[in-house]
Amino acid sequence: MKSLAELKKIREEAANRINLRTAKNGYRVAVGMATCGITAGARPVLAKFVEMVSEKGLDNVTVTQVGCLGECALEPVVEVFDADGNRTTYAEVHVDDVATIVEQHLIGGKVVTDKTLEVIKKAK
Amino acid sequence: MIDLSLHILDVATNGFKAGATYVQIKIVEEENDIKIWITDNGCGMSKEVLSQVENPFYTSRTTRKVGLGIPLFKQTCLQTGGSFEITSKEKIGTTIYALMYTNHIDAIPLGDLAETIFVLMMNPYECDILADVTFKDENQKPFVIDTKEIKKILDGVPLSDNAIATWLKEYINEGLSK
Repeated sequence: MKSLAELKKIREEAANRINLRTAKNGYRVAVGMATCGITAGARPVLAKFVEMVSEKGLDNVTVTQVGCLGECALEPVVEVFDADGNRTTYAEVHVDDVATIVEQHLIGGKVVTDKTLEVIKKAK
Repeated sequence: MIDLSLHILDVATNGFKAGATYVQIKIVEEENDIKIWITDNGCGMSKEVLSQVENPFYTSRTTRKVGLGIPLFKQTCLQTGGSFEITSKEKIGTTIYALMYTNHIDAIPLGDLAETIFVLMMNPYECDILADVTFKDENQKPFVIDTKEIKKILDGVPLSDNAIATWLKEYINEGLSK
């Protein structure tokens, strides 16, 4: 059974890790979390990103949430920003797609072309 | 929405847009019903907006003409013979009260409440979240988590830190599992 006392220990370890972190060359992942995104399955997608980023030890990746991105019919929509602020928008991202985006884009640095909003829109 | 936990997530995020710094969610599960209170300390609504907010063809947004979160949640409650109320005061905040009868054929399941609480706690708006859940099984300990308390323990380390987030997810899962 977990207790808040245990959290203190985890906190110390995390604080040390943050102090060691030098490079800020990471990605920011933003999952659309408005009514449209939520009904399409955005919540488990966000949870999966958090889980995988942690599992792979990607300390420089932050996972966050945004409101409606205006593509309600193609939700869940996920935006990935690189360190220079360049944006890649993915559409119809489901839990099964998260691993590919994490491995190929967040680790490998290569955009997953067939899941981009542009490509999916064109295919419709 | 396929379950109540998604409605709770959806409606609670409205508080973020209202500039709330504290969103409190209270859930009381009883033999034949579930009662939910969602209270935020955001900007609140005027009487005019409040009178429109349950109308699906009303939205404060300018990018589109519909706003479905509130009407969908209301429908979920009313279709079981339950009720749904919003009270709001400008500059004070908004409270939503929802009652759903669980023994009605049109009732939907509670769903993954742990994931909802977790995702709300991970909000990027620095908004604190309190979740307080009482179960119908009297032997199960009520579960309460408040990011205000958590942040005191974390003392500057962000909730979104990977190791912290993972721990919190498991902690919430454990606290809510039957």
